[in-house]
Amino acid sequence: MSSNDDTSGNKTRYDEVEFEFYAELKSLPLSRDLEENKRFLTRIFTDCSDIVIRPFTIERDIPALVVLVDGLVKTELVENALENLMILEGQESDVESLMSRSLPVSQVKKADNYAKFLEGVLNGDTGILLDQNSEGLLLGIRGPAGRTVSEPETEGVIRGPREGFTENLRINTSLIRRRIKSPKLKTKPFILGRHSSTAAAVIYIEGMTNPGLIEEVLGRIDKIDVDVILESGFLEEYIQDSALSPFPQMQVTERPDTTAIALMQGRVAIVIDGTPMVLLAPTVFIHLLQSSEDYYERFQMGTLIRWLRYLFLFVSLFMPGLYVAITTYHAELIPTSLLFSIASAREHIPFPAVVEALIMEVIFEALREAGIRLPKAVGSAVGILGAIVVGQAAVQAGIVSAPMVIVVSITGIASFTIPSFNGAIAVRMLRFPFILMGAMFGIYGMLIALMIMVGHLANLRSFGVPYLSPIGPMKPSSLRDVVIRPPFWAMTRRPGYMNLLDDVRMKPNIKKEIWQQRGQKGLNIDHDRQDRHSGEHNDDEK
Amino acid sequence: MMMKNKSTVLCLILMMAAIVPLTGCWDRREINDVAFILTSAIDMEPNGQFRVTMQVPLAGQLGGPSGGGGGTGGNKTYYIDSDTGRTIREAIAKVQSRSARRLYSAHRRVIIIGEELARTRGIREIFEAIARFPENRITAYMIVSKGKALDLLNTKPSLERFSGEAMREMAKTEGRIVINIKNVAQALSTPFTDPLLLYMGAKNTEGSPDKTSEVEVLGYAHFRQDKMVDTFEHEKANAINWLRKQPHPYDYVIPFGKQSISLEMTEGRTTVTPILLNDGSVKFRIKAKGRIAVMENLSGSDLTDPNVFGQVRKVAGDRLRQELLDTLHQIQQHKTDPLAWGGDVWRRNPRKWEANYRHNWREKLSEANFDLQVQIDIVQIGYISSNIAEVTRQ
Repeated sequence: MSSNDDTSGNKTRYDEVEFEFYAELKSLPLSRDLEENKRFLTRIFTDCSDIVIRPFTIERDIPALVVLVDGLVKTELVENALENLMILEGQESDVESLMSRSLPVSQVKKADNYAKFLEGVLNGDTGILLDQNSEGLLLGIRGPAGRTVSEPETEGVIRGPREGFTENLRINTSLIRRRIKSPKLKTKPFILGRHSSTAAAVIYIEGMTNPGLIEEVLGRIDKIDVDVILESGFLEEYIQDSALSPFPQMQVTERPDTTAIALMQGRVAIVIDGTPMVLLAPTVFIHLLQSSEDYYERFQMGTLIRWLRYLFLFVSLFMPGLYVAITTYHAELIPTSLLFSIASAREHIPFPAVVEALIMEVIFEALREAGIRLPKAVGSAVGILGAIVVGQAAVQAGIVSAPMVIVVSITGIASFTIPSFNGAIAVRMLRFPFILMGAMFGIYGMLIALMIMVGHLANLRSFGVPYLSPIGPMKPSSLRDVVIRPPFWAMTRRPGYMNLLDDVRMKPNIKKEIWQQRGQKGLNIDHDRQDRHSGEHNDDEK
Repeated sequence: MMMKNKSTVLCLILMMAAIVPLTGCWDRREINDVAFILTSAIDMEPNGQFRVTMQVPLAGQLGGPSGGGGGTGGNKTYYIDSDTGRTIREAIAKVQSRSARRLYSAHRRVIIIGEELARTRGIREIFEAIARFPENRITAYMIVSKGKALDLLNTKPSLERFSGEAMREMAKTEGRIVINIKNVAQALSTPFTDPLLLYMGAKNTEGSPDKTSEVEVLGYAHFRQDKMVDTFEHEKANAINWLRKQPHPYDYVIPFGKQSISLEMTEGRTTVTPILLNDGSVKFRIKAKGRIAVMENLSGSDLTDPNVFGQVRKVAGDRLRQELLDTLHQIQQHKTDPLAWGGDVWRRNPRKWEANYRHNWREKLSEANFDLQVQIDIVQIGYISSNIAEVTRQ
């Protein structure tokens, strides 16, 4: 093709292009003619009050154009850069030389087509176009970061870092990089959403994470072609293994330390711009019951807390169902005096136990939902209202029995002991089928429901890893980190079920020493030195 | 092919769904629709029929902070109803026909048997009604009442809400081996052992104008097979505890010196060894070791004096020996084996048991000799050697 044809062809295409963003712009190179570019940009950005397109001249007579999104750039730094271009430096008409000499900006990229150029600009870069250049410059002086790093609200800890992810992708990746300062930490970027063009990154440790897994994650993401991705939940639904399961097959966290631990277990993190929620995959069921704090406090406490969580997982799943089943089918199982207490409380209740349970559970869910949705100032009022109306008045009015209120409250508390919110959601939902099965068929029905649930869990996989591992397909070596929280010095290997390239976590020499001596003993430190000055002084006094 | 697969899957799902209701026993029962029988009393009517009485707690009156008021009447926490029948079940059915809730016996913890029924008709028939259905729990305590079982059930113990509950508590503390339906049935099912049931009676309280009737443990009912023949009361009841190898603390008084000394048997250990003699008879070596504490000394004697000390030991030991002998004598007199010593002999020498003892064990036991070795130690005489209010000689 001759150059003439090229321009004319481009000309028509510039006019024809409909704003179906990147796919079409990808093949559209920047024009050498600045006016042409300016016309095109003003056309596509018609009625975009936040886009600044400002022509200027680099000292003397080189026409140039700066394109930026107001609010996404750091204005002072942009002004500083423009000042350099307009006043201080002279006579640079070439992008290359401008880049290497005139711009005091650390991050500069070149773009030769509109897709790349606009992607940068819309992500907060400052775009500079020069006349007679087929490439534009993107200055990476992005502006106010938005929310600063603050304590994660959904995953609090007593001991442990207080940092949580923010809505900004770069801050999030930096938080991870700050914890794993290794060139093996890879952050593979990609863009999602035809309109939102959300930046995202797949993060993993090269040489440890199973390459097949990385390929699978990237492959699944690659298939998505959708207009907008706003939250990691959007992505999760596209790439999870079992789309219909109530159980989450990816862990969601807003803690960088949790993410770092996951990465060091050979898992993959998916960070998406615009949300502090990072996806971790593959995830097995046990991950939903573990908190990063398990590893920060003493291992005995971590173990006990884990047992407590396992216990309360069952409580939150079964307790209302069991209560209904036992009181309506298996009254002989209740100790006599307890039965009499329940009987006397239930004496004037107009509803069957199952209706009572469903009423209370639904009201509890409504209260909980209202508590999240309402403005914080009103939230506590709703809490009090709920507690008084449901807990007190309903019992006194004889509509709901006191034991049922206790059961529902304990169940509610129990569901909050599950550290991951999306894991707790599954349990919350499944509680209702258990109540119904318990009400219809007693404990027998609950066992059937349990068998179906366990069967489903055993059938699930998360990115190829069986969901119940290391229990499901049993891996005795990894099972230890499930039953107890082993002390760090005893965990020499990374989880076996992840199929890692490198699963050595620790050299075993220190394990041996600590195990044999029950710790590291400071026997070589002399605490009774005679020549100590203070010691002599004290002796004299005596 | 695809269709076939689909219908197979559908078929499988339907079949699996059918499993759930196919068990066929849908027994949903709200707690509000059930009347829990806590205690049953079984008597014999003069015409030979059974009279079954049951105690049912009134759920509305059982307390709980907001449970009160309404519904079931009065301040009583239970009601008692009774009827007669040719079978136990018939009597229960009659009561059921006039009660609004289903009578549910899975929480029955005590069954009282009237003395007359136990003595004349025997208790064996009762097990027919009890064990045929799993609703009746066979871990319920079985008690024989002095007089009518009905009257014992109608006592109003002040410390418990239900008379049945009081009986259960007392039966529980009476020895570590519980005497429940299961044990009694086991004893009855072997021809050479006899059951041993707790024997309780009603007793009015004394000393207060508002007399209440309380339940009192009188001892053990002495059975020969399923018929009651006698009782072990007072000292004999304690002696039975000794012979059952689980004496538990009891108080007793011995005459000593000018007046008497009150002692407490704090703990004891018994071993019973059957000795199979060559002439085909059996002899039992019974070693009883007890530890006693002096609780009250009105004898005026100084217990710190080794002579006095030794005399008290001897008197206490002789007394225990006499009690044991009396009890053993009563057992032999009725040709019974309430302590299941036949089992001890069998365990000792199964072959000899089969050859010499099994067929006429009752005779053998009634002619058996006993070698009693009683050893009593006084382990505690208290913190004072003499009454602190006594005038001390200067």
